[in-house]
Amino acid sequence: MWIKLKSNYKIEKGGKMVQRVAGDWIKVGKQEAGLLIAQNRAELPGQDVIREFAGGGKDAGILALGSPVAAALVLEELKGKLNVKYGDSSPWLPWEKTIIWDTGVILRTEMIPTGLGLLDMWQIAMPLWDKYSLAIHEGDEDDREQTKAIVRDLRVPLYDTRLIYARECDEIKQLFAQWSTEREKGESIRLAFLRAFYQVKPLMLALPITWTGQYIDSDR
Amino acid sequence: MRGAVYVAYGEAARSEAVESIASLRAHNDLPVFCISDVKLDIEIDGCCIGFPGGKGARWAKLQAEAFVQDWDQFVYIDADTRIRCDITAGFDILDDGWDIAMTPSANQDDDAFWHIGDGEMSATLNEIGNPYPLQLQCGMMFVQRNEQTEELYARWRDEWVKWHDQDQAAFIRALHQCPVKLWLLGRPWNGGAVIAHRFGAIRRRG
Repeated sequence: MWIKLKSNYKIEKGGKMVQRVAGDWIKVGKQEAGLLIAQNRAELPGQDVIREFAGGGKDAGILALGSPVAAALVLEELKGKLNVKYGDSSPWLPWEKTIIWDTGVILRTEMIPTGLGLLDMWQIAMPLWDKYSLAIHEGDEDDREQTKAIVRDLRVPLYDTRLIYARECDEIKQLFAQWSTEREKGESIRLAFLRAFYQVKPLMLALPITWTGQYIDSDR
Repeated sequence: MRGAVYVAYGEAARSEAVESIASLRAHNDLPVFCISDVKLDIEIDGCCIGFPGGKGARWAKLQAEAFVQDWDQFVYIDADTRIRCDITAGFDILDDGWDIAMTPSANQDDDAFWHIGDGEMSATLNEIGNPYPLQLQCGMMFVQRNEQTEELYARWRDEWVKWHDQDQAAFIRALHQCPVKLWLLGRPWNGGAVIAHRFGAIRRRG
């Protein structure tokens, strides 16, 4: 994994030890990364959520969908520092920057400042659903047919609708309204999102599945 | 007007480009423009031989949009590809209002940007402020000519000359400076049933 050095450090490169300096990013194994972070010699920017949100989280918050109990457990460390609201399955935008989180998926709290920062440039940022599934593998035949009629080709990735970083703007409001309309037309929430996204076309930054922790416990 | 752009520097790349263009024409009626060091052994609709600057194939690739200014839409295709079917849907997606349609790379998470040097990768992560960006595969891109994509290409060139190496990290930096409406296609479009990609067959640095 990539981490950012806070002090000078030597790494092996092509059989030789090479000096890297504070501010450099280095790619190391997870154990070495964990050790360096624990020793305060490196950081994964955003890991100190409380510090980064101090004074900066007033116009941002998390809209937690799903289990309030599960959400409260995960969000304990953010208590008093970041706004939290609970809702049903309908996304909306309580703040200038909103994280819409379904408690059924891992929320990497250390990535929250990074994700909110991305909204300075992008209107919405979402991870992909998984590495291999495409729209052609999703939903029933009718759902796929109506989706293909809009997006033209179903050999496209799906977005993970359980984690959405969204900026309050007309495009995202329109996206959510269209998504709501599309959800009434078929069973698949992800195909409905794809149809709405295709029609509204907000500035979307797609993120890898790493953002929902799908690789975190692997040995890759 | 729509067309396809290739870049082929070196004998292996030219040979691959000839095969790819033949496969494209087997399923699509598109004009082809190629930037190369030596003329291809196949008739095409337009070419630039020996693009000046001495920066090689990648620099030529980043000029692609400037060479086909009379095309409203183009698809850039790496030479080491084989087109397996009609790719009209890629252009139709641009007709619908998207600026670019391309695929994510198969290499993500710890494998992402494996081919980018440590120095450039460190600078890239610092600049975009995101330790986990989605790596995009720039070997096949449908591009709509407009103000946004011309700006993106200009930024891409600006970013590439900072390191003079691969182009994908430079693209990510450019994209973070100049967001566009980007529609993601799936693996079949770049490494599968629509466009097969012989990744690495002609890899060269610079």
